[in-house]
Amino acid sequence: MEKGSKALLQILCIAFLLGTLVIGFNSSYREAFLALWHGTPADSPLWKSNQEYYPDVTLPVAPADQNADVTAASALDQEISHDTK
Amino acid sequence: MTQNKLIAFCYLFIIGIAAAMAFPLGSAAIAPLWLVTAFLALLCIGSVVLIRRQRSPVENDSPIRLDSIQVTAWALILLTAFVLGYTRYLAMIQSPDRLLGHLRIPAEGDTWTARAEMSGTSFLRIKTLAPVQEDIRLRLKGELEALQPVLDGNGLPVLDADGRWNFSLTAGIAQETDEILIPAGTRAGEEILIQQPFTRLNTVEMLNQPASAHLAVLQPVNTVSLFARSGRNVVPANILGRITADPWVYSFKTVLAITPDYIQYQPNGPYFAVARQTIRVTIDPKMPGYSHLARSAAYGYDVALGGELIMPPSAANAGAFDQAKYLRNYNIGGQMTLRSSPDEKAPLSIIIPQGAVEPREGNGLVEFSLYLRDEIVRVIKQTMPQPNSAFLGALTLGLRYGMQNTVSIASDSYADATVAPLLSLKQPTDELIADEFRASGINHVLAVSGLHVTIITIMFMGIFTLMKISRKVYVPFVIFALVIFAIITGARPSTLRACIMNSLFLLTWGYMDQGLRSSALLGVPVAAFIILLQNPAMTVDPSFTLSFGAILSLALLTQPFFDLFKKFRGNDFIVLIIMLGALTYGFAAHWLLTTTFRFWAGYAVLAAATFGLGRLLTRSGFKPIGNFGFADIHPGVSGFIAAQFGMQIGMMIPLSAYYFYRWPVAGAYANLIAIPLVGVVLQLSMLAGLIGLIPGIGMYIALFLNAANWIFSTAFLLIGHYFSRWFLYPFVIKPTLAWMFVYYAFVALFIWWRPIWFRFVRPRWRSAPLSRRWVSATLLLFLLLLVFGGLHRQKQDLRKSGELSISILSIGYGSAILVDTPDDKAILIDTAFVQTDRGRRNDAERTILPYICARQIKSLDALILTAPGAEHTAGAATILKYMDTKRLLYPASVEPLLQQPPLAAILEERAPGRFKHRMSGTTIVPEQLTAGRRLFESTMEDGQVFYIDVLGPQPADADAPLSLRIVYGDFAVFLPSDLTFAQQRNMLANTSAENLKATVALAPNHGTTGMEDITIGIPQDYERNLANITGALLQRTGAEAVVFEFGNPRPVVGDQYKVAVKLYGTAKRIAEDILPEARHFATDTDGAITLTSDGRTYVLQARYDMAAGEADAPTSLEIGW
Repeated sequence: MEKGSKALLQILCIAFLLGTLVIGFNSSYREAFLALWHGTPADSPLWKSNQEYYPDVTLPVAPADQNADVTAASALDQEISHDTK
Repeated sequence: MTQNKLIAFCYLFIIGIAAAMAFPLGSAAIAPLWLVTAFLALLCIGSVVLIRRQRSPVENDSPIRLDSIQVTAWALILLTAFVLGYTRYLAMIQSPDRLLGHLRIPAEGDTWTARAEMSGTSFLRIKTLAPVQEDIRLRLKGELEALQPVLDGNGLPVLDADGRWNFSLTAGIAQETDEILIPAGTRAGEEILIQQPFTRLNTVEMLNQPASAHLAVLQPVNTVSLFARSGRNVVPANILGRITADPWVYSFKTVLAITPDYIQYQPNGPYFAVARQTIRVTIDPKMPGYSHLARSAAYGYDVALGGELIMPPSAANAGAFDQAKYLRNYNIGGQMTLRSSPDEKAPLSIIIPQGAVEPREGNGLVEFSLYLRDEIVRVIKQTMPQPNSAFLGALTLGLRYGMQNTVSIASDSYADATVAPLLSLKQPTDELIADEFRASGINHVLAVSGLHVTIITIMFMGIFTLMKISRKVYVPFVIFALVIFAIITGARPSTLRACIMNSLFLLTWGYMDQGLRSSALLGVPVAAFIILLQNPAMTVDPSFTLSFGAILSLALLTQPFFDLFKKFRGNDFIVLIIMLGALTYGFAAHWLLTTTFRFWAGYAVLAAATFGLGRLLTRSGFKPIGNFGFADIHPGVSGFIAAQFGMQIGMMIPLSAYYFYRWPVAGAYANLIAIPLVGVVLQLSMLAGLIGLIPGIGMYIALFLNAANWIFSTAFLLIGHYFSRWFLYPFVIKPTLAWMFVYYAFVALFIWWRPIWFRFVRPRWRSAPLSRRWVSATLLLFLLLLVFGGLHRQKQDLRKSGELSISILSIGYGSAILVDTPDDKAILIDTAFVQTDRGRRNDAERTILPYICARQIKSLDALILTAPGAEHTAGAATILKYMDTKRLLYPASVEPLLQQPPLAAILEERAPGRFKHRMSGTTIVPEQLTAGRRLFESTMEDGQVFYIDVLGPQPADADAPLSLRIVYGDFAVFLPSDLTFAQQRNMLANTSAENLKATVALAPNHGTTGMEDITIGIPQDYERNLANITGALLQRTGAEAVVFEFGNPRPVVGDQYKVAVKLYGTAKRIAEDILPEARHFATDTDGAITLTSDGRTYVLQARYDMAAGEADAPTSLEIGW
C-alpha cells in the first residue's frame, strides 16, 4: 500500500507541474484561471465551451447577485405554478 | 458454512435461474416452490446443526455417519440454492394471478365455485383448464368501486402530507361483461384478458349449455405492461406516480423513470392501483416545466401525467435488439413520449403535497449522491473544455448520456470552438466518440465497472495511507465512498458487482488479513448472487454477463497464458513477437483475408518455418537476446499482457460475437495503452472533482489538475480515434449456444488441463490394461464426433439445402431483402437508408448485417441495388466494407452512384485486378442489368428450378429501377422496386402475364408511387391512377399476399412525410380492394416478413403484429470490466 500512496503522490506532483505549464502556455486555460481569480467564472472559455453540456448544472450565485436573484426566484415560483396548471 | 459451500451455493443459484429460463413452470407453481425452498432451507439448517453436534468431542463416536451427514448437507445446500434460483426467477417473470373461482360443467352442485374475493380493482382473466370441446358463451357479473382523484383548485390531484393520493370512492357500480365466447378447439391453458374493471366478482353466468367446461377466473396483478398498448392509435392514460430514478438529461430530451401508484386506463374510467414495474417517460425540451424536470433534483418528485402508454416494441427483425426484453429486464413495463408546445397545457405536472412548499424529495442517500455528482460536474465544466469534459463526465461519473452526440476529437466542428483543440488533426471525421471507442474496443471505460472501482479503491487507500490512518479505521470509509460512487454512477450491474467485490476484499483484507485471490474467488459468486437475488433477469443481460465474464477471465486465464508465454525464450521469443506482429498487420491491413482458411494455413506454415529457423539459429549459437524471455519482463507488464490475452479469449471474442455480432479486434492492442492511461485520467479527474468542492482554494487546485488531465484525456481520445481508423470493427457470425458451450469447454480444458491430466487421466491411463485404453480412446473420439456432428447438423438446419428463404426486413421507409437460395447462395437486394443527422441510424450496420450474421452467412454471392434512391442504396458502402461480396448487380440508373464516393473508392479497392483482394478472394465484380436476364439459375435434386428474372428496366429506359421476379418451382415473388406510374404502365405493356405471375408481390415504391410529382396537395385523379395502374399491376400478379415495405418516411422524404403516409394509406386500401382474397402485410406493423418455400408450398411468417415506440439500442457501452 505504501507503493500505491507513493505512486499517487508522484502522479499529483507531475500533474501540478504539467498543469502549471498548460496554464502558463495555453491561452484558454490562462483566461480560465484569470476568470476564477477575478471572481467571474462565467467568463471562462472552459465554462463557455460547456454551455450545452448538462445545462441544468449552473454556476453558484455570487453574493452580489443575490438581491437580483430574489426577483428571479419569485418569477420561477410563478413559472412552476403556471407549468403545473 | 465454509467458503467452498458458499461459492457452490451461489453458482447453483445461478444454474437454478438458467433452468427457470429454459424450462419455466406456470405461475401456479410459485407458491408451492417457495414452500419447498423454505422446507429445504430448514433441512439445511438442521443438517448443519447436526454436523456441529456430531463434531463435538462427547457425541462424535461415528465418523462414517458424520461423512454421510456431510454429503447430505452438501446435497441439501446445493438443492436449496437451485430451487431458490428457479423460484426467484419464476416469481419475477410470472405474476401470481389470484384465483377467484372455478367453473366446471358437468359439476356436482353449482357450476361456479367462488374461491377468493378480489383484492382491489383490476381486470379479469379467464383460463381454460381443459380443452374446449364446444363453444362456451358466458358473462361475468360483479361490482366496481371506482376511484377518482380529488382535485384542487387548479384541477390537479391532491397529495396529502404523507405522500398519499386523495381519492373519492363511488361504490356499488354494477358491472357485467358483454358475451364472452370461448370457441371450440381452444386448448387447455389458454388465457383471455377481460379489459373491464371489476372490484368484486359475484357470479359467472352461462349463456349456453355446453356438455363440458372447466375454466378458472383469475385476478391479474396490476403491472404496467397490463395497461401498455401497441399500435398507432393508443388511448391516452392518466398516471399518478413518482420519479424514482435520476433523470437522464440529454441535450435534446430528458428521460424519466416513473413508478406509477395509479393508472387511469380509459378516459373517465376508474383508477387502478399499480403493483409492479416502472414507466420510461421521454419529455421534450419544449414542454412547459421542462427545466424543473431535466435535473437531478427532480428525483423523488410526485407527478401527474397523461399520454399514450406504449408497450416497448419487440425486435422487428431476427437478430436485432429486442427492446421489450431489454426493458423488461430493468423492470420497465411501458414507455411514454410527452410533447407539447409552450402555450399548451403541460402533459406532466409536479405535485406538491398539501401543506408543503416544495415537492417531496427521494431517498436521502441518493439525493446526497446526486447533489455530489452535480457539484463534481460543475467542477468539470469549469476546468475542462469540450469534448474532454463530456469524456470525463462519462468516465468519472457514468454520465454517458451527456456524451451521446459528442463528435470525435478529430471533428472540424472544434476548429471554431471557444477553446481551440490541443492538436489539429488531419483527415477530419464526424464519427461520435462513443462509436470510435466501440470500434477500438476501449468503450468499456465508459461503463463504470471493476476497473473504475478498483482505481478508486486504490486511490482512497493511498490517500488514507498517506495520512497514516490504520486500515481497520479507514476500511468502512472507503466502503461508504464506494456506495456513494455506485449511486452516483447509476448502480448498473457492472458497478454493483465491482463495489460488492471490492467491499468484500476490503473487509477480508482489513479485518481477516486475507489476500486478493481468495477474496476474488469468493467475491465473484457472492456479488452475482446479491445482484441476481434482486433481479434474476440480469443473468442474460450483456452488462452483467460481460462484467462477470471479464473478472472470471482475469482470475482464471491470466496464469495459464502467463505459463504458456513464459516457455518462449531467446530466439523463440523473438519469433513469437514477429508472428504476433504479422497477425496484427494482417488484422489491420486486410481483415477479410484473415477470415479465410488460406490465410490461416499460410500463417501456420510460416510460423512453423520461422520457429524452425529460430531453433536452427539457436543451435548454431546465434542468440541476439540470449536466453531472455517473456518471464524476464517486469512482472507487472508481463502479467498485464497475459491478462489481456485472457480477456480476449475468455470474454471479448465469444461474448462480443454472441451479443453484438462483432469483435473489436483493435481492443487487443488499444487496451495495452488505454488501461494504464485511464488509471491516470480517472484518478486526476476524481481528485480534481473532490478537491474542487473545497471552497476557495479548491477550484484552483482542480484547475491545475485538470489542466494536466486535458493532455492525458486528449491522449485517450486520440487512442480511440486512431485505433478505430487503423482497425476494422468487423462483423462476425453469431455463435449458437451449443457452439458457446463447446468453446468454453475447450477454454476450461486450457485452464485446468494440468490437474485433469496429472491427477485424473494419466494415473488411470498408466494403470489401465490395453483393452480399456482402446475403449476409452474410442469413446472419446466418438464423443468428439458426436459433438462436432451435432454442431454441423445445427448449422445445416439454420440454412436448409433445397429451401428458398426470402426475408423482407423491417427497416422503416426503405428496402432490404435477403434471399437465401435453395443451393445456399446468399443474395442481398438493397441496403436501406442511412440517417446522418441527430438520429444517426445506419440500418445496414444496425439491422442488415446482424441479421446476416445471425443466419450464419459469411459472404454474399451478390448485392443487388434496384434503384438509386437513398432508401435502397445508402447502406451499400457499409455492406461492401464489412462483407465479402462477389458481385454487385444494378440497373443503369444506379451507375452514377458507383462513380461517386464512397462506393467508387470501395469498388476501386476491390477491383478484380487488385492482387490484395485476389489473394483473399474478396474482389467485387460490378455488372449492369437490363430486362431479359436470368440470374442464379440452378436445378435442385428434386427437379425444382430456381432463378431470378430481370423484368426491367428495358434497355432504352435508363431511369427505371431494377424489377425482379424470384422463382422457385411453383412459388414466385414479384419485386417491382421504385416504379413510377409511367414505368408501371410500361411494365404492364411489355411483360407477358405469365412473367408477372407471383405468389407474393411487393407494393411498388413502398406504397407511395407518384409522391415525387406531388407539390401542393394530392391530385384528384391520384386515386384513380393508383387503382388503374398499380392496382392493375398487382391484379396481374394474382398474388396471394401483398407486402408493403413501409415505415416512418420522415428521415427519407423530409417534409413530405405526411403526403407519404397518406399515399401509403390509399395504396394499401386499394390493394385490399383489388386483391380482397390476398393477405396484406406492412413491415412497420408486422415486422420482418419471412417467406420460405420448397418450390411447391410456402410459408409466410410476420415477425409480429404491431410495433411502436422509439428504440434505444443498448451498446457495448453497457459492458464493463
